[in-house]
Amino acid sequence: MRKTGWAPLAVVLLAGALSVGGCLGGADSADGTSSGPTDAAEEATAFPAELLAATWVVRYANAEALGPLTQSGWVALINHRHIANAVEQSGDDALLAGRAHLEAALLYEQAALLSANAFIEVYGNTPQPTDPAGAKHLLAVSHAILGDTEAARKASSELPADDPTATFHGPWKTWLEGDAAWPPDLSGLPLELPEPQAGVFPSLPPPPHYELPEQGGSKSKRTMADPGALVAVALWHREAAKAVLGDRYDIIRALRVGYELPVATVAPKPGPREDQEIFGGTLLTGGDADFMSEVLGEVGPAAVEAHADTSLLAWLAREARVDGKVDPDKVSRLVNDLRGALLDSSREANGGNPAPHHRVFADMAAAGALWSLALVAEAEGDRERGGLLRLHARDKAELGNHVQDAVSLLSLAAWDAGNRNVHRAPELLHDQARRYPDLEVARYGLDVLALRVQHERIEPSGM
Amino acid sequence: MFRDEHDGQPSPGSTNTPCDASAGAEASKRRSTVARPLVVAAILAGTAMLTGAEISYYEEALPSTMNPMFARTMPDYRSHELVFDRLFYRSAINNELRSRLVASYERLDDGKALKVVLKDGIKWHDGKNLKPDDICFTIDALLDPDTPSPIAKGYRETIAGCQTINKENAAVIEFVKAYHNPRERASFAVLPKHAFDGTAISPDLDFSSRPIGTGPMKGSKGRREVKFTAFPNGHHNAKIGVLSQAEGGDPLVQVRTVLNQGVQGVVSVSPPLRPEIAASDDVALKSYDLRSWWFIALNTEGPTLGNKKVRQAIDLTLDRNKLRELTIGVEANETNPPCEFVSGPFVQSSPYYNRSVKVRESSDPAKARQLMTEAGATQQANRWVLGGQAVTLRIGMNAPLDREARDLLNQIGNQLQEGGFDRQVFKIAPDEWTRDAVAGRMSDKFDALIGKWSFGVVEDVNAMFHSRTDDGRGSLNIFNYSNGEVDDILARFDSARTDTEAQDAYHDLHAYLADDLPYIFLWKLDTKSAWRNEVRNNTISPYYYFTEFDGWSL
Repeated sequence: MRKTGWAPLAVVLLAGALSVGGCLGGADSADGTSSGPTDAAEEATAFPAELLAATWVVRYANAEALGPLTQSGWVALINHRHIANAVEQSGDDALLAGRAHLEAALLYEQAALLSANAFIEVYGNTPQPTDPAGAKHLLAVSHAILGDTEAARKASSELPADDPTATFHGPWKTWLEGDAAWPPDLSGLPLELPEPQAGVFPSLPPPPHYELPEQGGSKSKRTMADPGALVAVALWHREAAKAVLGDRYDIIRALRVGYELPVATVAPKPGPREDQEIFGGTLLTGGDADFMSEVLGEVGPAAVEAHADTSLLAWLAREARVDGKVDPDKVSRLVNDLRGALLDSSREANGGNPAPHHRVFADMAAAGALWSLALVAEAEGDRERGGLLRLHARDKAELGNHVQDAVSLLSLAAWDAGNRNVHRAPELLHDQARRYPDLEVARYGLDVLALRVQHERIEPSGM
Repeated sequence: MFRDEHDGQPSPGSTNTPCDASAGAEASKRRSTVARPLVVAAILAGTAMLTGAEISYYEEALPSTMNPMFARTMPDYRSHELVFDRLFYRSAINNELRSRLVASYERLDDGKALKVVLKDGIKWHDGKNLKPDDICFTIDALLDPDTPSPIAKGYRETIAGCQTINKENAAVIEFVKAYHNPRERASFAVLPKHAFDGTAISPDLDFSSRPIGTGPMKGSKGRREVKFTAFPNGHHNAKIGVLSQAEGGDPLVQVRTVLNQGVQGVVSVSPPLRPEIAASDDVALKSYDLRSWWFIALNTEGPTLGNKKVRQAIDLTLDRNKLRELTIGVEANETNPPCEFVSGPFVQSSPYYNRSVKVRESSDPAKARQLMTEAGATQQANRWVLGGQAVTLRIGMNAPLDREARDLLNQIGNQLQEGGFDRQVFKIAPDEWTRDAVAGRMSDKFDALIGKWSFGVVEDVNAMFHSRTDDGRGSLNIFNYSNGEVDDILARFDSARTDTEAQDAYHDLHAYLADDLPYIFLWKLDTKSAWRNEVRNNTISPYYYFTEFDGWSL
């Protein structure tokens, strides 16, 4: 395991690194204060001071504390949200490399989930007699990703042995015929991935991967990219993360609970978190990690009350409750207020002086809170409220690169694909594929969904 | 792009990008020191629009009609969503198929019919009750060949008729064939039977400016604004009392007005001005999912542009990178720009986009010259002469587009002038664009028309490129382009048995059009709205925008 390097850097680099390379989201008023709550008639939210002080935003309000994190790899990961650059610039910073590889794994896993949801909607829920026989392979992989092993086995058993997907199906067939314990061994896929190695961001063979003849009298062939490729490269990044993080792997992994594939189970890892571990992520305080693990795990919504004194996210969830559930409108107000409170606290923590990065970090925290509370709403059983909060979070991403959390945005696209929503998902995926070209693999699944949905609708030709 | 403070004209050196928020804030501070009478006047006017609980917003243009049967523009669709209920609609959040009018439904005859039972107590905006007759009347009007509705085609191909069952407060919609989910085919806005004399509906009735709907807001269209007033109903309870829509003028004025609380929202924020919104603590940018692509339609029936080589030479004369930089503020090396070039009639994220057809980003003057020479043109004093006449292009543009892409019309004209093509440029008012340009009535006035098309989920472009026929095909064919090979491809699309066949047909169409060039394809430009933070829970629906307006609040 490599040594975590926290070499102090000149403070002056900080503002440069954060402002030159990315979007700061503008400046506050001349004295650095924020306007706070948007409606003067409403009472400002009184956030617990100790929870505000425990946020990574405030912990890093002081430029001296932030110094070590101005290394280019950290700037790539947090300020530019460029996962590939972060991986390649991680150097011998083990935590950075581990976090970057885990983000890469989640990125590809969300793309795989998006594909799985799309294939199930098309070939599972609205099949046509002309669908290719190879759709059974796509369904088998999709059901496996979603954790429905029985459905995966059934689809696998219906795939003709000589189908063009056979090479790609082989490792899944073996896995399904065994104990089907996640993860599968996908090393047999024809992808030519190198041995897992920290600091490397491998590429997939360019799609399409095969052509599937349609049935029922159609002479067309459906070109297709294999969703298993996305799983394979995600697993590759997980191996790289494990290699570099060692026994911290499970702890760091648990910080992103809610973004792994449904088939994977993330064991709760209670305990203190270092500030660097949650820096720039969707959690706000160290206590949020335990809260999110419990609320999305076996404890469920009861975790909100149990953690409200130690987790800012739990506190927000409790304060935003209406009729026992997180209310999106209240969340929006609270998060707006939180942003102002974080700016104030950051200024105080910095000797009363505003710094350029305060606003950047407050934006990130606001977006992170919305993404996280969306998961809480879903854990409460209200998908619509969860979805609305995801949309609010997506709007925050308009502020610039620093809030363009690719994993969260792709999770929205995957959610949309599961809802047969082909308005947002293609654009969300396309935006990310411009930065990570291998995500084009997921486009093939989304394409077949978009085509089928278009066929169902009546809309005007164009306006 | 930010304007030069000195002369108010776009300044090539002062480009900015949506990503560059800090620079936007700087520019904002710089400009804030300049008292510009236009801005101040507009802000004051905007402020005066506000009284009590009223909120106001800027649209791209006023709607051309308030009758949803004749919607032709995106402002039409957005406005109609406030006044009318579609029988079934999709949730903006989870995409669930829902209805505010229907209490229950039943799929009959294995999907060849759909029985809908209406909710009780729904009132039209004139106080009368919604009845099953209204559902069937709307269908009969859509199916009536004497109703010149541009949206009817899809319904005429799908719906066979409608029967009422008044004692059950129900209607049965009959389809031409069985559908897995017939509700998908019943997304039309419902009209009141009592407001019309018959099912042959004309677009020029009073209803088109004073509509009667069952939507959350009662609408009234004036010459300068559209006013929407909340209409409490059994199925709607809008929390915003009055909503005023005004036509957005200068994009800078729009942005300044929303920042200064003169209005609460702007439907479409010009990309160069988005950093100013992003830098504000009081106004938020909101995603508006719309698939829009921009084009220059070329008059293939005209004496000059009837020659394909001339069209191709014009295509090669244009430097899209420069156009985009000068008008939208996106630099060539930007990694994730809001404005992305397209090489055909689809956005790049579409399954119909043919990725093998590469976009042309820069000009190629040498090849353009070669093509013009092959077309028989000669160059005299840097001007192309063909058939003894200087090649002069009359170029028109749908006027509101010049606000989104600042000065695009002139910039295109300038590039063509530099390439040896004389040009005359004209802005076309939105109503004229809708009435004449889209209807193919400007072939004798223009050689090129700059416009954009916006789509929802369905990206059917047959109406733009099919030859105009008496049965309504080619209804959006701007210069009456007629090409047998294209018609054959479009017929393949229409008759496709599988999704793949349809996709293959449109991939072929894309490749063919990129070569034949009835359009020069420019770019996709994403749309962002801006709303003040005091407007809450303002979920924006893809394409339709105000579908979830009941939830909006102050």
